[in-house]
Amino acid sequence: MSDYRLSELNTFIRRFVALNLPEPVWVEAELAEVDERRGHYYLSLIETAADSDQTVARAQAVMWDRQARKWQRQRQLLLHRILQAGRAIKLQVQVEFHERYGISMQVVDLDPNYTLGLLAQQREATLELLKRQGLLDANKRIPLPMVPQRLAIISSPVAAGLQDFTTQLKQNAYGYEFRIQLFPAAVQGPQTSPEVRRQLRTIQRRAEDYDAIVIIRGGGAKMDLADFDERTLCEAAAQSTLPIITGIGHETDQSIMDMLAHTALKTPTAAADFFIDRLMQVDQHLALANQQLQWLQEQHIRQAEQVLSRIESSIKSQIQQQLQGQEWQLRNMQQQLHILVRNRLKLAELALEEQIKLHEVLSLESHLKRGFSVLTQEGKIINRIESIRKDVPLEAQLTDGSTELTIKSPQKKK
Amino acid sequence: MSTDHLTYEQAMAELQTIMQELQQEQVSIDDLSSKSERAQQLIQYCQEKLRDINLRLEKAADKQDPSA
Repeated sequence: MSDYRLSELNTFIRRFVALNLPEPVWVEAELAEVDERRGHYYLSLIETAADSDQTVARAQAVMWDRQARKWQRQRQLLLHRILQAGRAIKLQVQVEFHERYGISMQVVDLDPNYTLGLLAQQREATLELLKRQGLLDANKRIPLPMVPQRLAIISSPVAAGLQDFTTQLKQNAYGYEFRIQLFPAAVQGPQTSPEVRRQLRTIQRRAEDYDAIVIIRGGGAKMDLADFDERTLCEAAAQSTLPIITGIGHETDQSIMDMLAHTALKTPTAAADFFIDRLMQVDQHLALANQQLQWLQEQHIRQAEQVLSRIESSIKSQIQQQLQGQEWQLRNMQQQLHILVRNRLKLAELALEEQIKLHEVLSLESHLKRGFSVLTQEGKIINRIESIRKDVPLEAQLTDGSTELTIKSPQKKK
Repeated sequence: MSTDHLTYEQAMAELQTIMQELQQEQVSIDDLSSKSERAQQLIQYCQEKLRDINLRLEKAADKQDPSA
């Protein structure tokens, strides 16, 4: 066999390929990379060994823009939904070889059901696993603080949803303040799972600094939920000790992340409103409590006033009673005073009269008048028999003079 | 003897002493007039004090409740 020139070899290969692969063929592969430029999709296809991560085959394929537009129109489906790195896909390719450009694979068709079916199966398996491990409602059982203000946000700095979320929070009508810290991570595509997981770990290390984790992604139906169905990501999130609030921006369906989250909101704006509403509720409770407190205080004051006024009137009546009592006592004393003084005078007068009478009775003069006489011996009054001496003259005093008496035999009364 | 610096209680105590003396007839006739006058003076003093207190209480009540 003689030596080929390169062009001859390439021509041979082209013919060989064209002969053996005249029609497009269906091929199953994993998408390693997707690159969309000006409507063309450049795909890196790989196949990894079933029992290891080793790549056993690799190829490039392209879906030209015309083909892409036609496919999307016919299938009523966006290629985004299917063509994502890491996905298993089934595509129909026309294999060609060009002498100057080498081998090429042009995608002529793509089976969305293959990819979506596999995704659905994976999703079911992940859900089942989380349920078995009791992880599906673990986060729901974590209490969300009454006033969650310190929020750890996982989102992409360029995501439109993040802007919506922060603007909504900052412009809340009540002036509530939130401390937001962004933990940047991809929120779509194959980097979502590793990057979000890394940020979950970072937040977990400082869990006491935050009240909640908020996972935000800008919305619309074109975004794929499958990024947030990924098993390792969901397992990691389910084990967070902080409540997770999602605003992943999907109107109709829920990702597994939404299902396991403490609270799932449809949009980033709704997530912001959730926090604002929560604070407002607490605010209202406080206002109500304040009102009740005031009412109770007023009630207490009213009661105290009533007690005071009762005490006041009782004091008044007691004082009145006491005053009246005193007045009565004084009047009484006054009357008594008159009586006592008069009595005392009367008594004194009576005593005086008595004295006068006694004096009259006892006075010598009156006795003499009544026929009594006073006997004396040598000037001494004799009123007893024993006192009389025989040999001494006895003198008797009468009203108009005195006379000497002689004693024969003085005899004592028997 | 003046009543100027007496408290109500002091006046009352003195009054009661006099009344007791009178009741027990311990007052000499010489003192009767002066004691009686003193008692009268004390009664008047106490009555004035009571009137004064009454007046003040009424004024205070008026101040607190102008409608009354």
